[in-house]
Amino acid sequence: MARPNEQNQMVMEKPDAYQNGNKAFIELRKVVKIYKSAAGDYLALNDINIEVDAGEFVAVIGKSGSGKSTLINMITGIDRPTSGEVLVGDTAVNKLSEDAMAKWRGRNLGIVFQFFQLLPTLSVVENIMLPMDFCNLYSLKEREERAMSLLKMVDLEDQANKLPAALSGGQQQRVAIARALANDPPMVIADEPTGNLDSKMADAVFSLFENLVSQGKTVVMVTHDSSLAKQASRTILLADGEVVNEYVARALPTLTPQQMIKVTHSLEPMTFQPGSSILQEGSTSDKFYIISQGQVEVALKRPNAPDIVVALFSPGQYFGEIELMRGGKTVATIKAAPETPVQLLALEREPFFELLSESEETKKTIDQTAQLRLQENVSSRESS
Amino acid sequence: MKMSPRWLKVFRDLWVNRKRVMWAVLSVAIGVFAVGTVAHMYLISSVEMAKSYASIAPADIVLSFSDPFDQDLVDSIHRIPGVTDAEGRRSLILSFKTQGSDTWYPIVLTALPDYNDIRINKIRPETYYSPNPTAWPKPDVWPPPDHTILLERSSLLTANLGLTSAKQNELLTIELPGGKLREMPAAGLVYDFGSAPATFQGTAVGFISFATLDWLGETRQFDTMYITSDIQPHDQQHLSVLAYQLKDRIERAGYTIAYAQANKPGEHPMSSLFTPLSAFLGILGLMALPLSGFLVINTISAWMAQEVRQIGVMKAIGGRTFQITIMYLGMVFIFGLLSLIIAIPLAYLAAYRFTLFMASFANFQLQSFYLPTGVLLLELTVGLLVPLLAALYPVLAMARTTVREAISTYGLSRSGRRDLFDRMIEHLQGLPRPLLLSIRNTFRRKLRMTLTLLTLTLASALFISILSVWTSLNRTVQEVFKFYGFDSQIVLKYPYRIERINQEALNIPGVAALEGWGEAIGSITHPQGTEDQISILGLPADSKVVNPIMTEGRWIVPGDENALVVTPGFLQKETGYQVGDDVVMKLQGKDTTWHIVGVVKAIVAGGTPVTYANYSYFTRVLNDVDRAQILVVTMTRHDKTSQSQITQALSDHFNKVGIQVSSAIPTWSLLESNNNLITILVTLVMAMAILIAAVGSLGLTGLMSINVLERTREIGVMRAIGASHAAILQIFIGEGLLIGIMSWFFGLLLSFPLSKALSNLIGNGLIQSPLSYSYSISGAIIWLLVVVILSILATLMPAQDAARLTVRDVLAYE
Repeated sequence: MARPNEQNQMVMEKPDAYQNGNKAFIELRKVVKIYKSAAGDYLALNDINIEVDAGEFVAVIGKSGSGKSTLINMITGIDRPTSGEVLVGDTAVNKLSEDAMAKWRGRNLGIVFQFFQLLPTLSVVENIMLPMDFCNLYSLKEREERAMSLLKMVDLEDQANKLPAALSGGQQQRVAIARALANDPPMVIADEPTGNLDSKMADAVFSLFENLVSQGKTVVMVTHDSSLAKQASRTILLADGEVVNEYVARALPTLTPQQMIKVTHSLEPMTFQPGSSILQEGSTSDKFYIISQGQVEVALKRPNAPDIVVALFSPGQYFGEIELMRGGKTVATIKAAPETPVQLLALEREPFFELLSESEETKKTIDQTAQLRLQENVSSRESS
Repeated sequence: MKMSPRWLKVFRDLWVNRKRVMWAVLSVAIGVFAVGTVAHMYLISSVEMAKSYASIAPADIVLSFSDPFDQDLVDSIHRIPGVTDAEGRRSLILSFKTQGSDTWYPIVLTALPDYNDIRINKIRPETYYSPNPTAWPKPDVWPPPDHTILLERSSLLTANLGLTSAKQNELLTIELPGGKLREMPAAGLVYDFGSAPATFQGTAVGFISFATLDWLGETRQFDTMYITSDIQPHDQQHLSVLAYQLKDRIERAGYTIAYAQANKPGEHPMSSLFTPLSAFLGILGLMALPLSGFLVINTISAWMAQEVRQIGVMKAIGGRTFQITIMYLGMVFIFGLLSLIIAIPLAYLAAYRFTLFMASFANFQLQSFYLPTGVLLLELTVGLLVPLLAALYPVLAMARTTVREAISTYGLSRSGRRDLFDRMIEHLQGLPRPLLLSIRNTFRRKLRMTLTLLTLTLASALFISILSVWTSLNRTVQEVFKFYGFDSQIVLKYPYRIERINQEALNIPGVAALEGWGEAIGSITHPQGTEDQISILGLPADSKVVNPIMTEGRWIVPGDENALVVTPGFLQKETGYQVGDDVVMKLQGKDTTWHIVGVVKAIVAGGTPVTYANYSYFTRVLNDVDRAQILVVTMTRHDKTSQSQITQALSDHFNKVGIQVSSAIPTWSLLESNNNLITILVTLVMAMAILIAAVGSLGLTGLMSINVLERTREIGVMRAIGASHAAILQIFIGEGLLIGIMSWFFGLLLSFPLSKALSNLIGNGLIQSPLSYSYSISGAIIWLLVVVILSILATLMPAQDAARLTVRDVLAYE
């Protein structure tokens, strides 16, 4: 029998590609989920493409009904996509039979639910032993030892023989996390694990997840709590069943998720080689650019001297707004930084102004940025 | 070794849900109990009865002589090929009374030539008389001294023979045919399993020695011959042929044989009476099975519905469908085991009591009572297999539920497709809102509702039907007994002139009127050479004392010549005859042809079938015009004591004036055998009604409470939006009542054909035609009341509990 930690090591090695050709540990390809109901079809997930690397801590956020739970149900195999592929490690999850799925799930992932979902008639330690029982991974003697050590990890070993009802919500959720780790799976999926807890308990549970990530586990967590989400290594924002481009979300956080989706749809990707020029000072420009990969340099022309680099923009930052909003020629030269290629997401003039007309706050923010950057340009020129 | 968590969960869940487990276990136990009891009773009574019967070396052929005969004739018969043994006996029909009592009772005394050499229809001393062991210690000597009587034990068991409190050596006064009295002590009790018991004969039964016979003034001769045979094939048909040959041979030697009877080998004469009972019980036992199955399906599916979330969690953490199915089927298996623990001993006890009860009527002493392997296997099968089969669908359906369906069942119930019925219900208008809610809720889970309704409908229909069988039985019995519009029946040794009898009889105070009937034993010869004895009674066509109820055809009318009215007993024995047919009977050596004109309603009680003919024609055939051999007497008072006293006085008087009385039996005693059979039937029917009522009540209560428990969350929501305690109770009780009353209504509809079918079944066994059907309206009303009260109670208690929960409790309940 393959020992679980051996399996994990296989996963942790990050091969160039997994068996199904996926490079990332978790990969969703063109996933669509449609629910049929008496009221008509409901598009819960629309063309979702996500990659999560092993060892990442990903927070999935979005409003109620945005498709968060559906999305993680795709990863856990609790639900199947209407079309598209869900690849986790070497497994094409969407192709597993219901039984093979249960078996796979038991060994490869731990699930943590919002309402803990501990079985009420089993004691805390028995709840943790149950997945081992179903998957028959450890010897009978090992099961209890392992359950106790997991309880120790969540600091509840003194509650081992109590029934779940005797524990507080936070304690129950810690037990649920211990149960999720029972078969030592490489990833843990949590659906609003802190949704039913007060902030102190939520923090304690969250730090447990951070701990797991530090041990090399992959954690995908759905949450409502944006402050917790920010602490994750990456955030996936969902709106109306679609993933909001994360650079759009970072660049224009004042937009509503729906507006972000709209922007995402209008973006045109562009790639520039290292050191190549993107905009030339004095030329005309009618696009708004968001950086999604690499860095760009902002340089000012100097008379009889080489250009001076006044700023370095990173993914999630934008440029091109001054020219669009103030009119006239380009105020600085923008080029790809010399080290890596640059990927940009470009928004044409028309959708850009449409966006500004829909979001006063965004307009104000971009305007302020533009003003600030102009001032910086002026002072930079003066100082040079 | 420690138990694995999943099995721990199974056991803990069982413990936590004890109440519900109890319902499930009881549901299964009822099925096991019903089937087990019936099968156990049937098997034990048939096997043990056959065993006991075989042990007495029963006679294959009984020849009853009109003239006395000696041992020489017995010996000559014994030598005939095919006859293995022959024994002669003598029987006397006399009257007796106990010390200090003035009431005379009939007694049949059988004289045995040698107590130590009884080889056929063996009797044995009663070593332990369980109803009163101290009054009847085991006799010290065997054979008993001369001039004493050995009483057959069943004589003491009939309340109407004055012997219930008799003790050993109590003096009995016997009246001899000439009117002389003899005092004889009852030396002890014997057990005679070979003859119809006193309870059915309506007379006491006793045994005396040949010396005693002599002392009573009778010659030491026999009048009955008991014969065993080894002819092959050993069946009734071939024995009949032998009996006919023997009769022929004996009659050629100058004797007259009153009747020759061939018994069915291995079958106790009373066992045919129990056939309709067994069939009735068998059907009811089988009906309890689906009832129990439905209860199990309902209980398990309700349980599974509540488990859905936990099943989802288990699947989410790696539990496979197979593992989960096994867990829940394991749980059901435990229900089965628990139910067996309850049902097997109870069924054993019930079968024991019922068998004893039925055995007491057949004077059948149960030698041993045990649990036959076949019955145990049947009980195990029913107890373990029925619940597993019943649970298979709900368990598989639930175990197959995907995790998403199980865990993410948001809201209060799954949305289903709406059919025409739903839309109709949605359009119900003008009713109070809580009632509307009740109605819509009731129909929301249609499958569950259908099963609940099916179970309760079946219970309703069975209860009403059984009570209808009871009323029909009573009505039939009343009709049958109406026939006997007289108070006693006196059979004379020879036909006497009616005029003379009348003159003598009217001297006795209390005698109001007297009617003389003719009597003869005829025989029907079958093509294969066998012969059946038929009793023909010649009644005046304008008889004032009989009130016949006809099942078919007509009664005798003045001017009838060879018209014959037959009884169901005749049709049972002489199959193939019907109204309009001619039947040829040998009467006093001559073939006579009779035309069947009708069938009179009567209870089939075994023995020689009776038929009725017109007195004037009948006596002409017999050359007995104006004479009568049977007298039926009407009295001024009709109670049992008067009937007995006046009958005895008449008999005494006749004997005194030289009219020889063969037997004098008051009507109550005549009806006794019928009454006994009816008592058994009524008792069993009532026991069944109570059992079904218990099953029905159990089902109703269980289902209603599960219904409420299941909707705890819904109650929370209603509370949250402002429903008062009372409003919630109102909704649930409304729902309970709606289901209860609907089941009653459907049960009512079903009970019409069902009660008719059951009545016909009982009727065909009892009177060879359907019972006089009478629908039990009171049964329907009683069940309605039961349903209403139980629906309210069963809903009230859990709804009360649920309504008491706080909104938070209910909604946070996960």
